[in-house]
Amino acid sequence: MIGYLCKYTPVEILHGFSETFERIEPITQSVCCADGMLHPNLCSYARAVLETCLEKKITGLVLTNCCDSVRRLYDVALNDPRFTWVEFIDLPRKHDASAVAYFEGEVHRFLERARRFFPRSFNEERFFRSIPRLRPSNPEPDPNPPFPPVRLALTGARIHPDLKAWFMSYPVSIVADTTCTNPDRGDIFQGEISSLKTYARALLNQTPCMRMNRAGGLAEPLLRSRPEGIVYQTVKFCDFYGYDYALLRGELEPPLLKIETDYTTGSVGQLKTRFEAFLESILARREPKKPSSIPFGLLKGEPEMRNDLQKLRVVAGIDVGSTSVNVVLMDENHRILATSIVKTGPKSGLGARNALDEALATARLSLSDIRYIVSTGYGRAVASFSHEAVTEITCHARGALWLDRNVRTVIDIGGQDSKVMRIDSNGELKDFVMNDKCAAGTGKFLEMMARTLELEIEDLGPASLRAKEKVMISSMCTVFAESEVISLIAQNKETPDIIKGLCDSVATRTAALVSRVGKEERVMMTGGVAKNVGVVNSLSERLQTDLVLPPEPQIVGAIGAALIALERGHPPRPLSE
Amino acid sequence: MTIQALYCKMTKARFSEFGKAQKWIRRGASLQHFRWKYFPDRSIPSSLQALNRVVFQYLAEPLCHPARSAYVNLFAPCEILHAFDLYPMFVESLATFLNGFSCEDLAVDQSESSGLSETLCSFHKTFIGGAERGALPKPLFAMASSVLCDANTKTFLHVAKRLGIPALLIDVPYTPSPEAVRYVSDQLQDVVKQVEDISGKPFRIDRLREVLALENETKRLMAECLEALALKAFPNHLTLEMGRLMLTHTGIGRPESSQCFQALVRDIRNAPPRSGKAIFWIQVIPFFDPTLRARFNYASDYQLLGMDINFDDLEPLPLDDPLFSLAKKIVNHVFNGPFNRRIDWILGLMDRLKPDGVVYFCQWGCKQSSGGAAMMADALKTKGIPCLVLDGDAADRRNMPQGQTKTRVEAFLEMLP
Repeated sequence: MIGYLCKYTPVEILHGFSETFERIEPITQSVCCADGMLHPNLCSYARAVLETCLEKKITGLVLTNCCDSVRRLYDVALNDPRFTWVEFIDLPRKHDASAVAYFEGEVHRFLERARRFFPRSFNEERFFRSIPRLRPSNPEPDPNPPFPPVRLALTGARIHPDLKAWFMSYPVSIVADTTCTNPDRGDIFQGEISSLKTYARALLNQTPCMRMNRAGGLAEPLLRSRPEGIVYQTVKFCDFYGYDYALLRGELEPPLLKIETDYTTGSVGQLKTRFEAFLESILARREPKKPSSIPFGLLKGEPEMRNDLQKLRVVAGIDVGSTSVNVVLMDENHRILATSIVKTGPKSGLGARNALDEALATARLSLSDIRYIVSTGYGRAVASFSHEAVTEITCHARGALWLDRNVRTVIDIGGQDSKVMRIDSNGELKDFVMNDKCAAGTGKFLEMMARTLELEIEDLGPASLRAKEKVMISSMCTVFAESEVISLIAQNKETPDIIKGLCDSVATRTAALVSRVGKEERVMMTGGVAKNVGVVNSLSERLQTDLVLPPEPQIVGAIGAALIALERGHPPRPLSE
Repeated sequence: MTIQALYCKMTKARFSEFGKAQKWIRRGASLQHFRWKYFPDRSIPSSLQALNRVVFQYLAEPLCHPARSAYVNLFAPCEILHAFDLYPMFVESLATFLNGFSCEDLAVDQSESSGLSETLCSFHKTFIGGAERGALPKPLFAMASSVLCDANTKTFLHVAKRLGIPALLIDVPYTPSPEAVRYVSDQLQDVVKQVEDISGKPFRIDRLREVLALENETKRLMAECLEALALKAFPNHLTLEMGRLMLTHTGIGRPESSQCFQALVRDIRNAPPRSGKAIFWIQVIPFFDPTLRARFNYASDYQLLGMDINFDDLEPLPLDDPLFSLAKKIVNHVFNGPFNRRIDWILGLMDRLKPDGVVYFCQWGCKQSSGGAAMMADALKTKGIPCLVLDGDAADRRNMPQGQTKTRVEAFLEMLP
């Protein structure tokens, strides 16, 4: 079996030899074998390709001069006897006449090398016949979508087919795809292809990937299809794409969502929150003046239940986080009747139920008194007793504005992730960013460090105020940071100094997130880490502003969820115990 | 606090405000040049004093004269700039210089907040952040070749677009071949025309020939240094070894580079025979790391022989068709093409230099270096040369864990035979 990676690969030539081949789409969960052969800081896609080749016994590999990681993959494959045919095609970064001439030569040389390797002779007719000329049709849209599908454009690096399929499982329609993996090969060969020369020219002149030095604008091919939102997909350690993202984000009118995966199939769940929040924000833009009309939210239960129009009395907002479950009970006059904060524990569903029961007991209510429940947070889907799940991004935005009408930027650092939201005066999301698949800069990071220092997490903030000497700790990676803390302990550094260094590290990362969305006064900080005075002080200093701190920072998401529950107004169904 | 530390602190305090740090950085380079020209440290060999002086001269010139300068990368054909009497503003050295001011964190944070990847090479992020904050001046244009690093052309395109200056990019095919040389040669012809247009100066082929002749002379002296180093104990300094890149690459073809190597050949030949352990370094050096500084700066027990990039091209260039010769030099560069070429070259170099050990440094975000680490270490070990693969960051000290580095480097030095 022969595998290839890049959309510029002249695979139709392999058809001419009647060879079987496939584009390698790694489906691995981990990269154990490849890790010993390629450095762990190499692009996770390149490592996953190597792992897949070894797993599926792909012995032929056709690569292009795509990037440093693929070049190193080529070196490894070239020196590994398990690969019998490793080919490398030099792909120019330009499109001018010299570049086209060079690429024509490369395609020709590839053909000559293939002639020497394959036992069967090259059949020119079969080659020309295999060149796809028809544009593939789009998949059938959902006949009964809950609302008009969101028109999305995809761009950036390679996108895993599972991830694209996962996007499509939402009510969206993909109106443009300029990622590396766009499979529409029929698009490439629309002109006359009568020779190897015209074939190579068409191949080089297809919609360029972001590794190319493009003279033209990046936005134009995306905006042509009038998308409502653009998803910018990148792969960890694939740095080409940052440049175009940095330029695009200032140029585009439609909102842009940047997501980063490690190209293993475990990535999808982690993206759920931000993708759903992105869709929520797009739908809110459709009717920006009516905040209560957000139609998105994973409505649960039967439609007839949703349409039940009994009078609304008490609602609940429940934020199922990775560390704690926070519940707010609110009546129709927006009075908070009870709150609870309970550790999530190993079973988030059980933790959610315990937290709700505790709040109900405080308010002396039973579950049947609660007309509508909105769940939010990392485990929002597991709260089986809720009517609707809304992302914590939307909920925090709504909760923060309710607490302070002048807040426009919300920083939420929870146990699992940190996020920054910019909101308008209606509490609608204008932009947001989240940390990537990494614990650095989150509550979990501080928890791990507290354990290393043999302290309780609550002690970190006050201890940091006693710091005397400036100690610097990497803001890049939790694992690096832990090693550094151990080194600092070995150097006999004072514990308060180390803690201050840790708080500064979290604040630095968070300040970078804030600058990515653009700070707008006033700034509120929510989430458990807002209780850490060391991080709050350090962040205030970096942002040069006084942070607004709610009386109980951990329940802001639950307040927002309760407010959304009140806005729903229509479905107060009696809940079974 | 020393005057130098105070100056760095004051420069850093101005970094956040757009353009404010620029004159402090420019003056810093000029003052250092002045210092090494008139008040050199006489405790070090005169060739190293000269090396310091020329490094700061090459750094200060483009900062003082941006209208006669261009941003360049390590493998840009700077000979063309010298032929036009333009100054190369070598961005990796500027990133190193910003690190000297301890400003790299602010520059890196600036780049990341614009949307650039956290995993991008910190040299590039420091340069981009410095340019975006106005800490670095805006030159006439930017010129880069794609040799060795993915980020090269994209970084230069990005900065050129941000600053509104032309970007002259040379796309270098990966595999050396006559066709690749022709492709690059065509691009160099275009570059020359564009530089003529931008600078308003005519191109003189004879001037380029003079530059290449001087380059050939410098390379001859570099080769003599290499031969002499195999036998002699000559002190070195991590910062100087990094600074030397300006003489062996962006400043090659200038008389100052040649004179400096002439002095180095003389001093190395006059040095005593090698006595301590000799270490060869592959890839860039985190020159600010306290352990490395303590072990290698002007040390006699552990001599830093040099860094591979400073020996990467010692081949003389034919002078009959200078642009074609330059194209051939770029395409056939040992860092281009399969990694085996580089391994073979390093093994050859080791035969000549005979080090006791090799440190292979994996720069944060540098895929080409980290990607080849395992292969290079295996090849060296097969040859009986101990090799330490060290991960870290030579541009952003926040990613250079001191404790880990100390343990690994010291254990490696202890285990050398």
